[in-house]
Amino acid sequence: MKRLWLVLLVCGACGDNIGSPISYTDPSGGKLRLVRGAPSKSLKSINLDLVVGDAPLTGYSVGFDLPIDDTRVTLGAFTAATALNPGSDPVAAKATLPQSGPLAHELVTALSQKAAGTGAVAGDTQVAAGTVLYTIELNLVAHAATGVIFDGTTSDFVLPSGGMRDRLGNTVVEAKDVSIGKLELKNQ
Amino acid sequence: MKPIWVGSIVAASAIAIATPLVVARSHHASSRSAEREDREHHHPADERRKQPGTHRASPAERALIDRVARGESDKLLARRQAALPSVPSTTWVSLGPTDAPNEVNYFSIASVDSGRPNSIVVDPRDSNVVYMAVSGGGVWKSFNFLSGSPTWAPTMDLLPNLAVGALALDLDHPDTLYVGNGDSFDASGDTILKSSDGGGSWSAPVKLAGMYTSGFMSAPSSIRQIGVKGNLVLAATDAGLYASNDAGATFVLVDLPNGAAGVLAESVWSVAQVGGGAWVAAGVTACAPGAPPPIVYFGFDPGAMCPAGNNVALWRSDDGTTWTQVTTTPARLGTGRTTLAVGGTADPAHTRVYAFVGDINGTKTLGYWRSDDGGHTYVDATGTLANPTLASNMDTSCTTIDVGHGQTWYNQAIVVDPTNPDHVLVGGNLCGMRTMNGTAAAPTWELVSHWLPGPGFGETANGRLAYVHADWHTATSIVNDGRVTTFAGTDGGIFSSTNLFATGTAAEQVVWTHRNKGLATHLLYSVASGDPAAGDPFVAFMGLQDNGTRIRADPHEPSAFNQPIGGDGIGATVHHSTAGTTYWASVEFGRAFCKPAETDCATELPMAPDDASSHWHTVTNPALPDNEQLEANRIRSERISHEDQEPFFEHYSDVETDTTGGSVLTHTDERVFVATAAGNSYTLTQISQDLTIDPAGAGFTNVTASRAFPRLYGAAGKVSAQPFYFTTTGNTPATWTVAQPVHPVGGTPRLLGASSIDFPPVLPAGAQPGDVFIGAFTGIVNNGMLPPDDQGRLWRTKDRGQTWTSIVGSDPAHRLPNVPIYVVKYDPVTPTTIYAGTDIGVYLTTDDGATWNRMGDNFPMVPVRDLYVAKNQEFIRAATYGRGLWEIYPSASANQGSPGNGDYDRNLVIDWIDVGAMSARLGVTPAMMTPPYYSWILDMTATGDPPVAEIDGNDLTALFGTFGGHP
Repeated sequence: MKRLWLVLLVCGACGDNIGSPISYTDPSGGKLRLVRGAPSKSLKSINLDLVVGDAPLTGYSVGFDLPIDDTRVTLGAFTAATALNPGSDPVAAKATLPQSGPLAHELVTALSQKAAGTGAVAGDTQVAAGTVLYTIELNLVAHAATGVIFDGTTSDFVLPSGGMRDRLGNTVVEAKDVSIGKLELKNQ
Repeated sequence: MKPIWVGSIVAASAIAIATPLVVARSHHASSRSAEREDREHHHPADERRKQPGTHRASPAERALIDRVARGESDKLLARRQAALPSVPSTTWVSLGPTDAPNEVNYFSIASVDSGRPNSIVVDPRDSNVVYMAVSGGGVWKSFNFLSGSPTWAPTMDLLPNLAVGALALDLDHPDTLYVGNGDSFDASGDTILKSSDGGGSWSAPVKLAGMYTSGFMSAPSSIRQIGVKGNLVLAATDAGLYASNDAGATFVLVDLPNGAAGVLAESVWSVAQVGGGAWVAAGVTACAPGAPPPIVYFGFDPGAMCPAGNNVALWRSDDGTTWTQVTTTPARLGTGRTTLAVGGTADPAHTRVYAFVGDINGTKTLGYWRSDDGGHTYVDATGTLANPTLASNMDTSCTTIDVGHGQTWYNQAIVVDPTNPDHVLVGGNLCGMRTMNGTAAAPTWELVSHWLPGPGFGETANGRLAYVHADWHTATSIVNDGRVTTFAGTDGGIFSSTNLFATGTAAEQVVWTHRNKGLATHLLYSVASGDPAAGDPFVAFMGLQDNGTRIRADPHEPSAFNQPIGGDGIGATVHHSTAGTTYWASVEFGRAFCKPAETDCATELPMAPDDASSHWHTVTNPALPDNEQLEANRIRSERISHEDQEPFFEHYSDVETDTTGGSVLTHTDERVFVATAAGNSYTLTQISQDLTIDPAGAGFTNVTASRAFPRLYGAAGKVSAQPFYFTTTGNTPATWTVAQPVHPVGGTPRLLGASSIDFPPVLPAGAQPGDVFIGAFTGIVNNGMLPPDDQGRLWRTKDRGQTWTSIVGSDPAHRLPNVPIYVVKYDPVTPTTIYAGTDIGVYLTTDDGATWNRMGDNFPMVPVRDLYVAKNQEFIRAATYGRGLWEIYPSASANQGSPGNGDYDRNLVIDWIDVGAMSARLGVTPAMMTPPYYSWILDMTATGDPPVAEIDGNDLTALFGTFGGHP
């Protein structure tokens, strides 16, 4: 435990896998936040969690479209939590990283409860602060050049689309209140 | 819109209507009747008359409509964002048409036709990405045009004005589009919108207005063409050329030079780049300084003020800013509308420019001109036609080089092969024509398409031409993988060819392919409907602008509508009685009926040898003057009344109260008739006064029968002095009572444009039939003023038309918008509920006019020409002028409409918002009266057999199939 504290003290991107070339800096603030998730089993992967910020939220669906440098990472597993239950058959949750089309080179994610079908939830659900809504795994591209993959911490960063809505479509969290950190690839 | 090729036959066969006229079905006839030919193939007056129902707003009214529409559009967007409840709490479903499994216009037509495009542009990075601007339906986009059956998505459904005249793409920034509101022939507009994301979102509209140096005000009502180069955007309008030097943020009028004529206003049709930063333009000038530019109409020359005519002028500019008038041209005297097309611009000094030159009256092609020097000078390139249609053809169209035919004011399209300036395509009224040696002194032209090919039609000495719908409005050529693809936009939608300019391809071997499935862009005049109370709610058909009568045929394809009749479909109705059900349809100057118990009314027998063999049977029309006399009558009436006249188009009204007979009302400009069964056919009996020589220039424009009270009929009138008429004597001929004018600003000024009349289903205590009725108007006040918002355009009388009271509501937040109203209907059950079909959608009052709200969700901002309200209130169907047919119903078992594409927020991207919107609606049907409401665009897949409207897991699975991409 003592050693871990030392690591945290010296680590600029807290929570990084030791030895991993992928570095993520959590954002500060935000009603929804994309933060470093559980350590990946591989040094060449990273898990990012979309979590509720410091205050609980009540809604039905969440998601975002995030431009990223996809020459450095690819999309791995997308794991929906059950705080907002996406049900099954089909699961109302998905992530993709398209290489073409209007959202090319954007990490596109979505999760929603379902009004009918397996796992249906009729109304909005209150989600506690800090709750994980879904986890995105990003895998390092072999021999990728070092550099920033995305950086939501700069002053000019604008998330094209994202947030939370209730079942009627009312905006619960706007895109500007979805905080994104900084993901970069350091020397492999 | 067709020629006049049997007009004389019609006139010769006309029979006086002074006495009831019985026309039996000619079971033994050995040849098709002239009237049947007329119904199937054309309508004599064509676009010589203005488009029916067209309301071209004055600048002040345009501003009013834009303001109101913007407010309503903002509410729509807010409602979409917040799911605010609409009134009542349910939603509209698009019924299409999305397909036409069976099209007949005498011949069987292997095509699916749609509404009228006026611009087609292609993304230079990807030829699969095609944008099309249509007259009344906004801009549509396809991401997979090169596939066998491209899909289309509307991009402007939530914007205030879907009347579009022009669309341009910035080739240097292909996601940047400019769209001009205002169609030359239909609904007006004077604004330009910009999209920087390929139509995913649009800027606020920028209004065009200016003043010539003469002091003449320029107030455009249509935008015909837009050119873009960098920050310079040029817009050709009916009131001059406008330029923006800041990428569309602002526009100023360009006062084009007019030589010795002084400062003349212009009506500009074309503006195009010729390379090296230079531009060319073509337009028609005003007669004299201070005179307005010529109007778009048959006959540009309005009279003595313009003895030399409104002639074409050509201009050139080195930089798009400073313009000079071109003086070296073939003779300009007698010329009219002219459209330009430019070839490759690699060598700007020698860019070829071609001009399609119409005559001054818009009635024929004067010729084709060519510039070999980038538009500095022009020579005649009319040349000769190598493959005219055969003289032996029954159809005499396209026998000369005059492809503009009788309507060069309406239909002109021209394009040059971007890879070879010798290759040119022109499209006109009925045929398309190419040259492969356009730069020759006398080019050789060849027909490459025909509007109605079949045995004895559209045949040349070398074979039969391919089908392309009549009335060409735009053409575009692009290069894709080294091959030239050419697009044609006609009154029947979009067609494309990949071998048009292919070397060695004979003209008769040119292949054109329609690309119209899924394009619900049709311009509807009317809707006819079955009814749950009669057991036939699936029945729906309508009359369409130049797309005939389209009728729904198969419950398994509930948004597909066959075409049993071609031409201009106008009126439509269904009559139920104990004697059976009858469907009625019309084309201009022709009426037809079909008995569904006896035959398949959803199809027509191709090349039926006679009327008896046909599924739809012609009823001989009332005696009509010939075309010229009809036009003269209209002009005479206008000159008497000094009011803009709506033209003759046959409407119907079902007489529901005739439960044992076959009564259906119809009308001409001057008289109202009732059709009653007579043997196997129908009698048309005149039941109103004859207004042919009315001293006020009066006439009839619409007709209505009370749904509750027998013998109570009404009509809308042509002139403001006599806005409405009614009778309580039913089918007995009588002089109908004339209502007094409506005075919305007090005093004597009168409200113009009476459009629709209706009677309440229940009378107030003590009232008699005819005491109470409501009347709607499309126009403004005859002194040029706008009706005040709190007076508006919907009025009621309770004293048989002697005095009127506005019923638009007093609360500005819940008032009927002060825009043109085309149709008004009482609810058949609840007398305090009234539906109004307006310029921007359907509005509803449930408290007898005290308050109004926009009805339902999901309805685009389009004009509504007709409404059908089911007897038991189960559904309402709305005919729109530009976005096809719509339905609203509180039913969980009603048929699914147009398949949606999942793009709930219409931003052409499928992402988390669409997933959330759909997931929240799983299990939702139109029957559900609490939000979130059913949304047709989220209903992507068919559920049930036949499919009913419901959003389910299959839709969500389908949505994830396009997740992260475009719809």
